[in-house]
Amino acid sequence: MTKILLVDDHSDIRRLIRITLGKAFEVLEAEDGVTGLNIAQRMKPDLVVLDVMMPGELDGLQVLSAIRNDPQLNHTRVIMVTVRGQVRDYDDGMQRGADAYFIKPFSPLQLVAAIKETLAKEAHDEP
Amino acid sequence: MSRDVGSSDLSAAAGGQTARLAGRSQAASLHDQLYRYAEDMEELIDCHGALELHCENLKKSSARLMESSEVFDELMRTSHDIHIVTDTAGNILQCNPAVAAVAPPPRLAGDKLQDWVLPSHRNNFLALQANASEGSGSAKLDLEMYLRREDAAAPPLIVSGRVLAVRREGKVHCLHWVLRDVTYLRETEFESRISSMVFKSATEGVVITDMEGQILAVNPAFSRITGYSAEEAIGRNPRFLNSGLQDAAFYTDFWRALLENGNWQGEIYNRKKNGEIYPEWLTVSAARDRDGRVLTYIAVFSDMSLMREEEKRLAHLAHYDSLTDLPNRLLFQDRLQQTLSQARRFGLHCTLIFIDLDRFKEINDIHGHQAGDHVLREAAKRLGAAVREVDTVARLGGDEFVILAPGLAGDENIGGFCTKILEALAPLIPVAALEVGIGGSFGCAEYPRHGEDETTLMSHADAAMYQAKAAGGDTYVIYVPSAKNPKEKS
Repeated sequence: MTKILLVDDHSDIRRLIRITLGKAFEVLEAEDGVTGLNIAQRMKPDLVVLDVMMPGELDGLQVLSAIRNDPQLNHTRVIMVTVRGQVRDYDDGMQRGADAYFIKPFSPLQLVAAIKETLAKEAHDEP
Repeated sequence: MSRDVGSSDLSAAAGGQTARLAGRSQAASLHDQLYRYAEDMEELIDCHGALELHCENLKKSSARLMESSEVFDELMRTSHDIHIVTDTAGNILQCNPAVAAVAPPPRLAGDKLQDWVLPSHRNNFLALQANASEGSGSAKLDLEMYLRREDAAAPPLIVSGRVLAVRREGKVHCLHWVLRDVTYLRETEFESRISSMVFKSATEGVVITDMEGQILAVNPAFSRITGYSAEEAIGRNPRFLNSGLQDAAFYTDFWRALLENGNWQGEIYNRKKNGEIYPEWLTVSAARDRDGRVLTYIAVFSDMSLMREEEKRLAHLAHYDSLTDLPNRLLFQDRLQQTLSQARRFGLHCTLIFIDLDRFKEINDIHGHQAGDHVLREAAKRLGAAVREVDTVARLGGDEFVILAPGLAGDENIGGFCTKILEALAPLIPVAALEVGIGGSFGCAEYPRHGEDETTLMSHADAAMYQAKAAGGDTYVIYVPSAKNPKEKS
C-alpha cells in the first residue's frame, strides 16, 4: 500500500488530511521536521506532505533538502504546504526539488488530486 | 523555532508576542483550513446527492436489464425456432435447445455448421455464409436448406430462415442463424400438390362437401360424368343428382354408415344433367381434423355404365368371332345345349347343319389372307341373311360354319332349307380385281332322329358334311345311319 507521510505541527491539520486521504493509503504522521525526517528514513514513504513552517530544529525546507540529499530518499515525492503569500517559500521549495506546492488553506479535494497525480507521475519521472 | 532567515514574515517576530501572534495565526490558519474543508464538504454533499440519484437510476436500469436478459434467456430456451451462433468461419459457438431436432446442443458445439448441411445444399450454404461474413448489406441472407440429423436413419430436417451478421465495432463478429423447421410444411405442400394433381386428373368423379353436405369442390371428371360444370355444382347439395331410385331407407343406412364408420361404399343410381340415369360406384369418406371433428365429406365415384359397356364388350369378345361377328364355338355350344334341353322338355325337333366352304383353301393360297378374310366375312353375311330369325349361325373356326335350326325336321324341309342357303352362297364374290365363287358342303343331323345328345348330333352332322365334300361339294347330305358303326344306330 502506498505510504504517505504527513509532517505538520498542527495535529488538527494532520487529522484533516488523514481523513481526506481515507483508507486508500497508509498514512504516517510527524509533528516536526526532525521526527519527520527520522520516519522518512525508517519507513521510506512514497510521498511526503511537508509543512514549511514548523517549530523545532528543522523546518519544512530543511527537511526537503535533507530528503533530496539522502540517496535512500531522494526519489521520494514531496508536496510542500505553506500559508498564503509566502512566495519565497514557493521559490525555495521548487528550487530544492518539491514536486508540488500548496497554499494554506488548501482544498482537501485538490490536495488528494495532487497527491494522486504526483504519485502517478513518479513512474515516468523516475531517473 | 529555527528557521531560515527571511523565509517567513513571521520569523522576525520574537518572544511572547511572537508566541501570541503565532497562536493567533495558528488558530486563524486552522479556521481558514476548516472553512475550506466545509466548502469542499458542501461540494461533496452535492456530489453525493447526485451520485445517489445516479446510483438509484443505475439500479433500476440494471434491474430492467436483468429482467430483459432473463426474458431473453427464457425466449431462447423455449423458442421453437433454432438459433445457432457461429463465428465467421462457421464454427458453432452456441445454440438453443430447439436445435435438438438436429442433434443435442453439446454434440454440435465446436462443429462446423456446414458439416450438418446436406451435401446438395452445401455450396449454397457456404456462399451465404461468406456473404454474411463479409457483411455486405445487399447480400441475400435468406435460406432454405436440408440439415442431416444425428440419427442418420431420420429424414433430413428442412429449415428456412436467415443469417444475421452480429457486428462489434463495425466488423462482423459472429453469425446468428435463425432457422425454422419447415419439414412438415414442405411435406404438406408436396402432399397437397399431389392431392391436387390426383383430384384434377382422376378418371373418377370427386365431390367435396362441407359437414352440411354443401358442395365445396368438384373435379373435371365429375363434370365429364354428370354433365354439370363446377359452377353449377358448387354450393348445392349433391341430392340434385338424385335419380329418385333410392328410397328413404337407403339414405338412412347411408348416413348411419357414414356417421358410424366414417365411410360408405356401394352402387347408387344418379341422374345426369341430360336426364340420363346411370349407375355409379360411390365411396364417401369423412375427412376429420386432428380432434376427430368432421371437416368435409369426400365422395369418389365412377360411372358404372361405362364399366357395364366394357363388360358387354368383353362378353361379346368372349362369345363372338371377331372376324365375322358370328357367335363362336363357345356361344354355339351354349345355344345348342339350351335348344336341345328345350326340345327335350317340349318334344320339339331341331337340325344341326355343318358347313365347310368349298375352294376356300385355294382362295386363301392364291389371293392371300386378306382376300380369305374378306370371303369369310361375305359368306358369314350371306349365311346370316339366309337363315330364319330363330336360327343360329356360328363360325367354329377356319372355313367351318354351323347352323342350328330349331323346329326344322324332315328330309324335305331340311333339303329346302339347305338349297335356299346354297343359293345364297352361290353369287361370285369380288376379290381385288377378280371375282371368286365359293360353294359349301353341308352335313345335316336332326334331333332326335339322328342323335339325342350334342356330341352325337355334332359328330353325325360332321360325318354327313364329309360325305357332301366327297361328293364334290356345293351340295348337302342328310345323315344316314350306317350299319357299320354301332354308335350310329340310334
